[in-house]
Amino acid sequence: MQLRGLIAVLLLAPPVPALAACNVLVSTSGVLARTGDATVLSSESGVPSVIVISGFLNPSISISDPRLESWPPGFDWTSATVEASYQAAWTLGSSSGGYSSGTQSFSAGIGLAVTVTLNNRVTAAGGFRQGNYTTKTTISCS
Amino acid sequence: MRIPAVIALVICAAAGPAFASTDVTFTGTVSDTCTLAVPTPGIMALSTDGTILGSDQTLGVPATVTVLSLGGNTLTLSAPTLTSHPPGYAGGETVQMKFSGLASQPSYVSTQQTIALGLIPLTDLIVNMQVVNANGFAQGDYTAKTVLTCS
Amino acid sequence: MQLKAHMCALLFVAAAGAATAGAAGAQSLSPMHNSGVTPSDIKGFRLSVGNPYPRRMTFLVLPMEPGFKTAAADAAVDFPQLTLAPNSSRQVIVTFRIEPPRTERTIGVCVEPRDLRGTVLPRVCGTYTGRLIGVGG
Repeated sequence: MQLRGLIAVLLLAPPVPALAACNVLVSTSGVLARTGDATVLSSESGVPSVIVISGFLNPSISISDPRLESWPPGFDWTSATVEASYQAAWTLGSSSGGYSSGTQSFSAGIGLAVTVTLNNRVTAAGGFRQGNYTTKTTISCS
Repeated sequence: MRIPAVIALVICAAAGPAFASTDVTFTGTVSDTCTLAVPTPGIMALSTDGTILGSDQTLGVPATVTVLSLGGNTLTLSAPTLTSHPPGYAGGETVQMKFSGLASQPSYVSTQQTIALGLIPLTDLIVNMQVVNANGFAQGDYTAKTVLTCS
Repeated sequence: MQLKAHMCALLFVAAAGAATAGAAGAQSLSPMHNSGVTPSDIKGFRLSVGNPYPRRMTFLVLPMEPGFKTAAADAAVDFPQLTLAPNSSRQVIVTFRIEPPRTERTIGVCVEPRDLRGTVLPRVCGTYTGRLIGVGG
């Protein structure tokens, strides 16, 4: 009686986003640097990015679309390959993926947060012109 | 028992879909660098007929330059000149150079040479130098040089 | 004299506005190109000079006109001669005046060994451009 009324209220109430929402927080931005191979710029030689994902139950996380966002004039961006790799850890579990220019996905178990260490790498057979370079990778959770 | 489960199910069903996405940014700065080293300086020796002082004569030694270039650099070898000679030397010489290895100039030339560098790992440039004078050379020490600039 | 005193007084400002040198390691000169703005008529850059030889060497650090053939006027290096241990590097600061009505000036800096004998004199040269603030892009 009271319970039926409660259920009715809940069914008619607007959707509640709490608990089911994903929060993606970039805790450390990445820094690219030259490696021992002059045709590769990598955050493994610089600083990897650290991302914390929270506020979920069993999320599916995908890492996609690593891309070159900006480069100095004269650099042949069409010949450059951008790839991302990751290492993820949560309570009672982990996942990792090697360098890929495509989409990588994994499901995290139940936990308070997932910490993802993300690396970007740019490979250009002709080397790199002097100047500033920026890459981006999209990380999503659902 | 079952009622709390039903309520939980209703709450979850009533909640909207969860999705979050963000772009992660990586930045980096690349500097052009060029490193030159001359592990073997080059020595000129006199030819048997006394008219050529050269590093490719017997007992002569070519210069070896080790070049490392990261970026769009240019290597310039200035026109070679005789920079020192003993008193009594009358002049009238022609100074020439040729090189091989990283780039090739197989025949002797007297003019400035330019080599475009891109991404060059540690590579040697071997430079031969000669001073030619049909009137010969007075006794003493001679120095011929080219200035090799990476810029 | 007057220029050097002025440059010393502004060294902190010049260094604060100067570009950060390239990566550490045995490199002759880094970075080889740079540009930046200055609030005054003096611009400075911090460069890294390296010794790639397996023995102690003394290098000359020479401000030059952009063609690297003649010395640059109104330009100075805090350490025009540097003695470096094998495979080591050290930072120097080069400063130059941008004389009005110019609003931009480019100089070269060349690093060469002081005492190297032989038929080849190697040097690494870079170009550095200073612009008055509020002028150009």
